Amino acid sequence: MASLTKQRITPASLLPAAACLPLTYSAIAHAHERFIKHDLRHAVDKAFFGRNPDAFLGINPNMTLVGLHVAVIVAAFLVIWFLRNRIEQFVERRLFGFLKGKPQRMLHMLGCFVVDRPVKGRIFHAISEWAVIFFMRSPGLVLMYSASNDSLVMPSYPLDPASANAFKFLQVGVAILILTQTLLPLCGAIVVGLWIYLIRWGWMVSIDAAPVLTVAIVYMASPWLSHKVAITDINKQQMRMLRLVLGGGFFALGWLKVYNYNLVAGVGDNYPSVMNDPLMKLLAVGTDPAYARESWIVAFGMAEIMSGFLLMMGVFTRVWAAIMFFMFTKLMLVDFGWEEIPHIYPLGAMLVVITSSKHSCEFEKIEELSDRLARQGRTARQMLSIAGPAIAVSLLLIFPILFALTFIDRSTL
Amino acid sequence: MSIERLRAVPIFEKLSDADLASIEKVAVREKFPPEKAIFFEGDPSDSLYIITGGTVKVFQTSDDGKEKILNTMGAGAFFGEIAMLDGGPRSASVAAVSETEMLVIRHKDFRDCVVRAPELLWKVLEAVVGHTRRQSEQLLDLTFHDVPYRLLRRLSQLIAKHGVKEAKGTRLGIKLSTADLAGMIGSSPERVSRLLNKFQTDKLLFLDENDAIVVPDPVALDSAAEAVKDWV
Repeated sequence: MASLTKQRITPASLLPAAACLPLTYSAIAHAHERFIKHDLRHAVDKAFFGRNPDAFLGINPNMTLVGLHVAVIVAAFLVIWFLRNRIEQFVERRLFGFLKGKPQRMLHMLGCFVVDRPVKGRIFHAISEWAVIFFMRSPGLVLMYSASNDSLVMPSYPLDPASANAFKFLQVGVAILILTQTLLPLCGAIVVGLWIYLIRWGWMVSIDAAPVLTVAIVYMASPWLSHKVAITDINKQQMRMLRLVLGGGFFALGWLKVYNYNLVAGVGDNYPSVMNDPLMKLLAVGTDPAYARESWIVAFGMAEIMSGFLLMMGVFTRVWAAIMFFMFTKLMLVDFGWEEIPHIYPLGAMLVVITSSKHSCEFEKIEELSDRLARQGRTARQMLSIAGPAIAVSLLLIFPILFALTFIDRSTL
Repeated sequence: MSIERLRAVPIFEKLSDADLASIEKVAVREKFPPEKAIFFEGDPSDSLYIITGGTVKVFQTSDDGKEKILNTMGAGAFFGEIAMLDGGPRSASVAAVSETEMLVIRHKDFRDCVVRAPELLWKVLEAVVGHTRRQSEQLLDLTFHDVPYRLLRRLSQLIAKHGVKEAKGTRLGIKLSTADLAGMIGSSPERVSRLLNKFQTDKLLFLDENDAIVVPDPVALDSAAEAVKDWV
């Protein structure tokens, strides 16, 4: 059945979120401690992340190198993105021009998948519908799990024994509403309220939990009589919001890793397998081996900044969401194990992004200009209209914040 | 392609030899085997396609992969004009039904041709208007007429466009499934299948040994359509 969700979030659905604000003054959940161990086993060289007066922009050269690698990759992805239609046409019409019938349509669907165009196929559509159902229901399972484990949403937030029962019943109540798809705007507001509540433990905690807002947005944009409709699709506007929040969340998380480098180093010390990621090794190519751990931290953060940014902007959305889905699943199942099972809800969000046919891009104006110049036969100007913004965006994405961070002493975080 | 053959294409019939010679220089001749998609809905558009031989189907695909045939075209027809004019993505997919040959003119070359021969633009405008008119008629049919009328009328149009005269009647020259016909008239394959059986009983049509639709008397088909026009 088609989507019957609302087109936008109404003030009425925001009211319950406001009502949840007083919760932030409650002291029911008493502590925030990361479930994933992150105690440092070896000190990190804090000078690496501070001012380096002799270096370019005062940034450690190893950090600059990792940043440059990311900027080059982002610029390349942007250029390929702006030329994607030509490339796709070349592949379909020239390289595989001999195909016809079903094989030709399969290749076309694969091309559509890669360049974020609608994929019109029975199986893909069925998976897409299932992904929406999974995404909408999985927070209910997470709440049930956390209630049975004396925690608030995640094992990271254990409940105070004195008031644990009240919060456990509340979570089960919300979970029942979610699983029965009842009063979804209220569920969305409560999720937002819980997210606001997390700010009491610091802004870094709220950034860490930002992906939970993806599902809250979809709930809040659902009809109040949500139990009466089969929600198996999310519209273009909801998808844009989901993409912006999910990508923005990972973008912020990436910078948080560079900012709070001790925590990331601690995770690396306790789970050495996370340091063997090929993407991070690629980003750290050419850095000084004496600073391998520090360079890995920057590469880890930059990988999230890059993927989060491209996802946020709608550049190869499905590809990046698929990469993140794979990496997240590996982290959850292989590296960290059962304790990270509540992360099924961001996995659900990624699955929805991967299988959606409602994608858009934040660089549409640049594409329009480029297409217009191409139709007028102004190839040189068209290339300039592509390369200029791609280079500017990729450099501005990395270096201003990296430069600013060198002025902040984070060694005591 | 020679100038004489170009002149046989309706869109070029009123052009001078000099104009046809300039078109001959820029038009690329391409051949497509049956089932080959010429382009897909949503593809970037840059060219106008003129059919010089064979048949194509114009179709749209729903989110769950179901195809709806909007139109079929034969020699002399052209397509791709809407997206070529506004630069937007293709509004529908087009695939060859039989061995098809066509002339392909790129947008930039077409602009140059139009500057020399404005008559070309009129032809394209006529096609765009015809497209709009067809859509209005289909909308009216869907709103005011029941499935039997829509099916008979569409069969009549298809026979007129793709009919091959034989001893026993006029055979539909393109192969269409009941699902294709259902998509064309906004009905279900089951309903179309039942109606085709009824039309066979009424001797309006029959299926030959290759399961192709044969209409013994196209005029009788038109009359039958008029007779069921006001059914509710």
